[in-house]
Amino acid sequence: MKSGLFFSFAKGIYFLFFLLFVLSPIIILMIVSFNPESVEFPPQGFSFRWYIEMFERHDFINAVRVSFYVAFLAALFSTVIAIPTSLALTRYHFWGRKQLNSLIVNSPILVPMVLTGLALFEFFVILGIYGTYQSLILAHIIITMPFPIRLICAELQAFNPFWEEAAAIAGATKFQSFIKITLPIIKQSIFGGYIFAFIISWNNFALSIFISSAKTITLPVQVYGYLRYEYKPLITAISTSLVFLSGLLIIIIDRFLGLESMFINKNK
Amino acid sequence: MSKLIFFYYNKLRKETWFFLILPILVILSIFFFYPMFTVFKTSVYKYVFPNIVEKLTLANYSRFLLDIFYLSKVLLPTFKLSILATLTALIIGYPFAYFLSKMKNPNIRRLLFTSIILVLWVNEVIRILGWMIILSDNGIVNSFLMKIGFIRTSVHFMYNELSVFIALVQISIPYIVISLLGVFNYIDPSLGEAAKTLGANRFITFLKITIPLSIPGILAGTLIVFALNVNAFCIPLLMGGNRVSMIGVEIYKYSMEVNNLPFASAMSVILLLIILLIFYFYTSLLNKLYKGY
Repeated sequence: MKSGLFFSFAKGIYFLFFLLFVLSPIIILMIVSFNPESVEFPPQGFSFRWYIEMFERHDFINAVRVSFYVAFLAALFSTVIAIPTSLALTRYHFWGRKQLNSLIVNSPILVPMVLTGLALFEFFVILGIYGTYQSLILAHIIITMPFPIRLICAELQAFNPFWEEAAAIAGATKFQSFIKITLPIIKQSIFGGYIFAFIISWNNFALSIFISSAKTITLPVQVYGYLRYEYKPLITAISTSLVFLSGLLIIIIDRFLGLESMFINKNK
Repeated sequence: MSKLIFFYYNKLRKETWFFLILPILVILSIFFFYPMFTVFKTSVYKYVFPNIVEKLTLANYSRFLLDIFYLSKVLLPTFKLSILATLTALIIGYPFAYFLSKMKNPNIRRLLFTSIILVLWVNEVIRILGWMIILSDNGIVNSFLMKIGFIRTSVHFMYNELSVFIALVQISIPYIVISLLGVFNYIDPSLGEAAKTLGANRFITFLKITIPLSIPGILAGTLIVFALNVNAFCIPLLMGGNRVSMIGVEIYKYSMEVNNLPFASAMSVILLLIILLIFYFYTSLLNKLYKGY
């Protein structure tokens, strides 16, 4: 019994250090953001000063606007395109299906973001649309696409196509059966895919830094700019707000969709 | 010849799947494959400062691959840091995933899992700022060590390979935990019970049953994490100051700051080939180990 107690104690210590290591940068950041003076810990006072300043800076507000606009539209197009693509990948057999599937699913890991950034940078410069909103949105569509596709495909594979066949026997056209049967069932993963794509686009830095121009700076690139110019306390306030937003989104998604089931297939 | 094309085109028009994948094929071709092709093309052009001369040459590749300067200052740190960070994240994250999968209280389990995922959804720049506050010369760690008298002057934790390593490990751990959790949930608990009835204690069941069964998860997780680390760009750029050089940073420097696009393109092609090789090696290893699956 003694070894059991020691084991639980060691396990507790391990958990503590583990969580400390993984979460401490974020937690410290949030605490320090209320420090009225500099970025020292423990904080010397409590003030919302940096949050107020954050809202007064035009470049920050602009960057938020750009990021939101791009993420909203890019995720929208991404999810809309993901729907027919997932249908084709799961319900139909065609030449090149496996290759296309693995290409799409693996590309976010396989293809370095730097390479995509460089390629799109050269491409947009050649086309002459470098630095426009359209180019930014297009680039973000490319990088967010695999995620809704993966989610919707997973949901489509999980449910039996028997319902669609039944509808076909009852006389519905393919389009009707899609609208009335398939769509309501995959509604959840469409919504989840949209949120996923939105977050990927919103947080993206490595790609955006290649294709952002002075007029279209996204929030992460702007924060990077602040970092280089040593506006540290301001960034802590920005970061804390962003962490809050991300946390909120995660809680919402977990409530509605169940995060664990999205990432892991539970063996029943 | 045109009759053949016409015949196939008509055949395709009747297939539903063609129209379904048309949007993504169009978008990928125009905005993904063609730009990639542009990069390949640029990588074999000559760079004569400050213009790109459109003459075919392999000089960019030979400059990177045959010069010991680039190999030792760029390729070596890239691999060294990526491998170290991947292994460390695996060692640190494995017990956590194991204990998490065995936890009985679903609320705590959900809370812990969500907080790990939170790290992934927080922006990279934000995480780096957090580390800066902790590790910098007048940051938390240094002030604490100086207060208890352990050191006299501040130890330089930031802007070197150590800080890049720490940040890489932090971002790798959630991915490893996710992969391992998936595998642990899949392992049949009755196997452990069977081992117990045969007289094995907890440690031996862990060693002989859990670890071997979790190898697919280990391989999948380390593949993702290793690829992510080799591709790392933001972390070495911000946390390494100008001293740590990984291949992603060099691509950025040569394309955005020096404007030597051919060389940067060559480096990105090399990076892509490295990743593809790693992928190929991993998947063939998995196929060899798990032929029946």
